[in-house]
Amino acid sequence: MNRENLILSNSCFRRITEAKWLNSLERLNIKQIEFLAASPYYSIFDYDTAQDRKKVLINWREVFREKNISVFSMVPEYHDYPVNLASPDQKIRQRSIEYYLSYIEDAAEMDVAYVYVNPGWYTVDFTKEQCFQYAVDAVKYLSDEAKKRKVALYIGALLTEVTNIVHDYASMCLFDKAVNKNTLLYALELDTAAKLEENPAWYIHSFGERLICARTSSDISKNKKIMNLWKKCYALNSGIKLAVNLDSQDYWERPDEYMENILNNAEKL
Amino acid sequence: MISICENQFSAMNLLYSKSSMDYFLESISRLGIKNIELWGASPYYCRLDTSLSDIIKIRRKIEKNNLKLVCFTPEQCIYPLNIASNNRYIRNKSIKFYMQMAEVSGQLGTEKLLVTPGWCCYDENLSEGYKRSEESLHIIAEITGKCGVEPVLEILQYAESNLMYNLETTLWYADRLKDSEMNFCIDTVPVRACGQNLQNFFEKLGQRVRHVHLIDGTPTGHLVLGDGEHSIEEHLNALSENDYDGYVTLEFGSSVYMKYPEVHMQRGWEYLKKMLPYRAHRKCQEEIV
Repeated sequence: MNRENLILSNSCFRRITEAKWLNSLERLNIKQIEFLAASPYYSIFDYDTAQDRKKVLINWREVFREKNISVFSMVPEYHDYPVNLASPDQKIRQRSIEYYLSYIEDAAEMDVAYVYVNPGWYTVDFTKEQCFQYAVDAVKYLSDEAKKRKVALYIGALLTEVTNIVHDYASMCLFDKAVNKNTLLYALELDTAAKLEENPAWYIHSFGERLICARTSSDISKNKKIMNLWKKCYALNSGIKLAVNLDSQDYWERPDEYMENILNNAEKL
Repeated sequence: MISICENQFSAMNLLYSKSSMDYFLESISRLGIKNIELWGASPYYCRLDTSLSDIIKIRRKIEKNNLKLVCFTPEQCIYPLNIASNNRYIRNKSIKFYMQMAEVSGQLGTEKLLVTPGWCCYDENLSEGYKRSEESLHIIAEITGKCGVEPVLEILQYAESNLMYNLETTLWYADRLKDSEMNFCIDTVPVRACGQNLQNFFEKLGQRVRHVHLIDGTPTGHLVLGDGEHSIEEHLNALSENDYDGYVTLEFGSSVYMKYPEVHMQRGWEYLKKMLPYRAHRKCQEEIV
């Protein structure tokens, strides 16, 4: 793999000032990022008005242009924040749809091609099928809105504590069949595949060009299982990108070191 | 030295975060736990979704299940809030959030509101972070006082707050906040994570310990009692020896439990009940001698 395949997220920098993060990008010559849209970097929850938000967004756009940094995708915080596209509560569902819609508009403003979406989760005492349908309807709607703005949504199979709607290869296939839109794209979540002993070839063969990247929240340079899965992906598709988002609190205090380590080991990947 | 009894314990809905409010309340009622601490996060409570009439419905549901709400704990660690933020916009918004939460506490019918000190970026000047945190807490204390709600400031793990995570940093706040303004919630996970114990905190804070979160861990992890390496008896001993007569919340919260929350809450509750009523041993033995 070469560095052009690698996309690094700001997720491990969320307790570091923006200035230091930008310095790190420059120092490490990182030119491609996955932008985690979470406080304090950028979250729609931080601003009362659309105007206040837009000022901050435009500032980020100008900063990235000036530093020649390409934003591969925008990833609105999808695990920790009060968002659930599959919620049995109509108010929560509607607000969640608006949440993602705001980020689709933001991505369009920033000329970012992709927005990551978490399809949500059903409560243990509510019907799974009904919540699944809610998620399908929401993603269908958001896909159409994204397409109007020349943005595409993408989804990954995350661990069940994050989503019990799309949480493995099989449920991703079911979800894709239900949504039935070629404009909906996918990520291969290596951590899930590793935990469930899945073969990355399944995803690559089923989703083809609609699989736009692999993702991991592990330090791949130290995790042999994830590294081997990635190597299998790369062997099958050398154009596939790898997005690394180190979101565990373990990385927050010295994110630079972890980033640098991953970059230095990129060729081994 | 007092006996620590079942009636002092409360259950938090953190473990039930993938369940509905009705399920949580009925479950706790089934288990025979008399009190709850409400974790205010979606879908239970989120200020973006929950109107005053919804809040009143929540209160009625709690009462209908014959439960007492001992503390309201709005989600403030993983949500975009930080009263010590260097971004004035975020800081002011966060203070405003606590003002709203003080009102909500009153509407829910509880007297305690859990508050956390915020955090400072790792590459920032820590003293500036402390200054902002303290300023914000004085404002929050004033507002909660006017609402008749008692704020309790909770110790966190270092990754959650680099401002208040051990005894020394807790005492920093104790020196700067009067006991008429704000007192403390001590959580057994950060206590053990920094290599200290509950007794250390009682020795220094005394009656200013107004609320306790009792959890097991390795030493962290928000585990059910018995699943970790904490000495639960040591924690109970500290409560008894220091005549702690406030509430103790079982804040179990690991995601491994969430698919079957009642089963795991019951496990933890049964583990605890075997030790109750608990009376400290050390002083008893001294008295005998």
